[in-house]
Amino acid sequence: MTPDPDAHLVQACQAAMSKAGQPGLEGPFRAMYELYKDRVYNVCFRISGNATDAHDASQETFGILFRKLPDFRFQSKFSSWVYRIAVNASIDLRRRSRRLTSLEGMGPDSSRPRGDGIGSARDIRDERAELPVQAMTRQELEQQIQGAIDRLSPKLRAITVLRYIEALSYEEIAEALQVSLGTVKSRLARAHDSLDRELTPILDRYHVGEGEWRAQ
Amino acid sequence: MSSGLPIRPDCQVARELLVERIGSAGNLLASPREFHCSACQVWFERSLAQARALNALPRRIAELHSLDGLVVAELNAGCRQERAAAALTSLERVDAPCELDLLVSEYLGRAVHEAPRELDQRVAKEISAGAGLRAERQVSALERLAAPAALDAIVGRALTQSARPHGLPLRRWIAVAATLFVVVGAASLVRQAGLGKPKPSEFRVVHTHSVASLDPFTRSLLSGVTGGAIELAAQNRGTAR
Repeated sequence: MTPDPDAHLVQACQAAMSKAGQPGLEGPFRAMYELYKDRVYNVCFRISGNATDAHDASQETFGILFRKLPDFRFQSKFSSWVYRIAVNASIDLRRRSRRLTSLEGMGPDSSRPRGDGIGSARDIRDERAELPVQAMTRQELEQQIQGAIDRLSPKLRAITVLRYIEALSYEEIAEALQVSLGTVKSRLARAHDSLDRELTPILDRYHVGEGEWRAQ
Repeated sequence: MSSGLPIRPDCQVARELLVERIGSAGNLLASPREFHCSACQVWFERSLAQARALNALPRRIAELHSLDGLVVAELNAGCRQERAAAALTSLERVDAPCELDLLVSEYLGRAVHEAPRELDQRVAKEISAGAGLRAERQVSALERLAAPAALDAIVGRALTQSARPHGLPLRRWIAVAATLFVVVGAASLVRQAGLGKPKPSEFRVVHTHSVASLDPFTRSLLSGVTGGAIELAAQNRGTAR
């Protein structure tokens, strides 16, 4: 078994916790936070589908991470463990916020905006400056792709995000989601089945992915 | 949800193998030599395009300050449950307010007034029916008892006693003697008052054991008073001797 690339950082955090108890966001904790915050936030954003929930799920992920860190024994890769926490936190939060939204929908305050969706005021896209028309088209496309992801089941959504957005290998996904390799492949194939009906017309309309590969 | 592409039972297995050839960036890891069917070939092409589109989604960067703040708050809030439990247990007990007494008594008072209408009807019926209804209700509720076996013996003995020959009982004799004593005394006084000279504050008491020893006037007076019972008793005594 190859050594965990994060082993030193994790052990430093564990040592600091054994000395000082509850950590602040300083020293090794700050280093770990900086290392993972982008990955965690992106997983949370793509699974929860909006910036507000992504912030909440990220916050919860790091809270769980630092509380459970003393008990981490490298039985899996540290990064897989982090992804697992982030995926579960996002799915749980989405489930809770859907329940809340459905309850709010029954009340008079149902029109209250939730800060959902792409381009919310609370997050920033990491992209180069582009023409307004291009930006608008890109944003629309992103919204539609995100919509297709949102309509996947939580299991298929998690596997799609980890594979194509976080670019994890099948082994890493299997470890993060605690499923077999066969299950990963099976779920991914099913995710493509589900995405096909919604995504293919959109991709055709925006001419995405054309001409780069054709079967021989 | 399934794609619109036709799928045969063994297509799923073929597609799970095909998906391994799609890189995480939507790139082709290895070209498949052949496809299971034409539908699987189209599925593979589309899946590549989907993967490419997904991978092309822009990376999101959280507003650093806001996420930092949230995470710091989460960390500082460590042991939240323990602290919440400690805070809850430290809460002082609160005495019930005086208003509670009023509210409870008011409630109870209201409860008394709120007797059901049916009660009025039943009370009115009870009053109009008088004691008969109550007595009937009570009596009809009583359990009927069988006569005890000892009753037969008691009744039989009583009947036997009542069949004895009549005679004057002792109590009657005492009553007769007492009456005789009073009457003789009174008669003596009357006689003395009528025959002799008046002797103020003087009277004579005669003790007698037999009616026969009385003078005829007294005896006839006594006989009149007792309805002849004295003479009948004297005759019986003489017969018995």
